[in-house]
Amino acid sequence: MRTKITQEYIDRDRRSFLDKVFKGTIGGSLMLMIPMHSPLFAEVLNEEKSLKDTIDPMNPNANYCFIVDVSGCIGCGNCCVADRKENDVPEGQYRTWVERYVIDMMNKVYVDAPHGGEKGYSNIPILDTIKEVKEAFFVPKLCNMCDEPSCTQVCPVAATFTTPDGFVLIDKEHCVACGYCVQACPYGVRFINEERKTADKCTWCYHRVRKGKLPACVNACPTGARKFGDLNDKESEVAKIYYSKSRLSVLKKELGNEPQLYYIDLHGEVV
Amino acid sequence: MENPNRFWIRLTVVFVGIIAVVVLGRMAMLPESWGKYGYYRGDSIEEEAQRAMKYGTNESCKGCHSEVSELKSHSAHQRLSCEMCHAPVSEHAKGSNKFAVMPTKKGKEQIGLCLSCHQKTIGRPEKFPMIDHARHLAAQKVKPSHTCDQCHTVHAPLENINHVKDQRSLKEALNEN
Repeated sequence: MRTKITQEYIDRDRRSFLDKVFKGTIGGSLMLMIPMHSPLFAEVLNEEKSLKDTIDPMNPNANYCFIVDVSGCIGCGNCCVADRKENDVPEGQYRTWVERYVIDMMNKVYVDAPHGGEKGYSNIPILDTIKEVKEAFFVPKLCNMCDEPSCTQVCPVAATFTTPDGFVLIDKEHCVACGYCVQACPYGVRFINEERKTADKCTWCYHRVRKGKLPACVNACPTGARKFGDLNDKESEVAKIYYSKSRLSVLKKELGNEPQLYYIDLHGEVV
Repeated sequence: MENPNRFWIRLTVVFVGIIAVVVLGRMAMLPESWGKYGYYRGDSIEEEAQRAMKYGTNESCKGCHSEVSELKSHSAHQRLSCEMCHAPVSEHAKGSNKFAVMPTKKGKEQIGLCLSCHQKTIGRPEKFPMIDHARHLAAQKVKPSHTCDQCHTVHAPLENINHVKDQRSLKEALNEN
């Protein structure tokens, strides 16, 4: 009897000791983790919230527009790198790429895009073929987000469509990868994603735009050659360019696809 | 005596049957949100919108690295995205918790990174600051093994250079007097 009481006493004591240790550990670590009244912490939290949780409601009144300043592009390929990571594009396939146009003294045009421009450009192959360069420039290519898209018209299962806010998207669950849209796109931006086995293309980072962020390539561009915004917002950079005197043009205007991707000072040689 | 309308009744039954099969089949096969915005699955828009972002903005980095952000904000590199040279923020931090070290580029990798923009290449606009790497090192009278950050602080490339120039001109001015 006596020994039993002692054992119980010892057990209780150990239990309360462990209890205190646990509470102390948890309390202590909580105090370390939550720096109270720190403006820095609040800032990070807010940013994280906008990074992840908040999706803005669809804005059907917006007129989104992408503008590429050809004279600003330096062909560094950072847009392609960012795009690949942001959208999990398989190696060897491109949602966006950068072409280089080189014109020689005989007005002959040479175009190259090794690895879609992702790994940068060098002078060596071009200087082997061309003796004297008259003019050279880079042209980034991506989805044109046509107002009258050819790709959505031909889809037999209605897996690609234009959203009320003007983006041409792909329903990855519905797509049967027949590849008809890949052929229909006059700009060659569509491809069959090797990993997902569905059609894929640039979405102007719809998932970022709906969270109030710029597309990944626009964010990554070091010279600001890629611009994105809402034309109906008169304060936006794209609206200021669009309604200014700068010479804007679209690719393959004669096809009547009415792209919403504009180029500033685009040379006539570019197709 | 057979019903003279029996052909019509059969025909009607067949028609009603076909219509019922089509209507019910459509209801069973089409996804719920079909036709919400148009002739496609409306929910796929929200699914795409909910996809997690990998790249943040420079604001994402500023929360913790305000000193670099401050240094960069006055320099020629102020426009650059932090994630361009480092990696997407999603590979580095969740909220205020850091879970991976950024791949800090050093040595040859770092030179490659700098030269991806600043190497003299056909097609780059003339006004953009470009160098021929080998010539630049020779002209500055440094070893060919020099890395860029030995003279240029990467976040503010001309910070140290301008500082040295100021010091030099100050010294020259003092010597002249």
